[in-house]
Amino acid sequence: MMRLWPSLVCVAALSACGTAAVNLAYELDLAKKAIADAREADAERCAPELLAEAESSALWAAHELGEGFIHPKVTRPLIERALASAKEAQRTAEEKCPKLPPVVIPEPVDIEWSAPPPPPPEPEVIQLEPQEIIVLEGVNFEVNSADLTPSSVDTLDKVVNTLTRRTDIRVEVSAHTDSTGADTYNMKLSNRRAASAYRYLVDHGVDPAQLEAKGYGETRPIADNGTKAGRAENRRVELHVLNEQ
Amino acid sequence: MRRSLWIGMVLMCVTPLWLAQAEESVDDAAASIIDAVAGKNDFHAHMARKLAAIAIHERRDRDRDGAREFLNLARQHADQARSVQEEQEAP
Repeated sequence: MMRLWPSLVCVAALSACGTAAVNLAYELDLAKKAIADAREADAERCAPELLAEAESSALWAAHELGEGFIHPKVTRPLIERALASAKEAQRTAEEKCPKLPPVVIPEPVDIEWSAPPPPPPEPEVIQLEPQEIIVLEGVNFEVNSADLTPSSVDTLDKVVNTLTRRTDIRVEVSAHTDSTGADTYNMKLSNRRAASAYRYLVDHGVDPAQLEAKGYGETRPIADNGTKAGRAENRRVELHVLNEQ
Repeated sequence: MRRSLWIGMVLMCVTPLWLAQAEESVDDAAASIIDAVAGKNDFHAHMARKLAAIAIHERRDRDRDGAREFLNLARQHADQARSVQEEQEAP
């Protein structure tokens, strides 16, 4: 019996070590899930430092786990830090950058185009024709961001002036990206950009019933994505007049 | 026999110097990455700073492979932070 003791002790130690590794791996998965949730809430833009803290801690913990020597006292605090930072990043992002409610797109309505003649054109107003597509020159965004640049405001103010005078006109605000980056990312980015322009117009007095917002990602290029100038041209916001006649 | 002893002694003296140089180069590389992203506050810049700090920590723990791995990751994020800035500055 005495000869069995060393073997039993070894088996117990190995089993405890294996259990600790499984637990830590499970906890690390939870932290990674929390990081993914934070990213979904746009924490990369709205809480970058907290998200970086979470990701770097998770990477460090994964490295420690991958070394084969399980040190729960070292690894567990890293995982806990990753989890706490990810949750904090998500909370901060949701506070700082709340998501807009989905834009409800009403059915197109046929409008008598023989409406009263438009008021005399003013310099700050854009001329809109039925089914016309207008590229809003000067409406730009920070790279990888849906924040409007200050130079975009002038152009959008002209759209506000136009649409508040012409309440019979309905338009779709369409955002497009170049082909840099993943398709799904570009689609999400263009949706956010369209929503950003939509929010500006509504905040400045345009009736939401006149507007639709839609992102097209990189699916509708108007220039060559192989050149810098072409990519700049493809990163654009357009107004599509929805009235048919 | 005597020659082997001499070679052994020389190696014993030189090896710590090599190791120290390798360690200093990790610290220097991490410091230059941190300098490169100084003043930037985007996600990639924060990642570069944190990963460079982890590389230094791993080096101090005598895990040179780990230090190099985190240093490479830090460099990649620093490059991404630089390209984000260049695109923002582009007309």
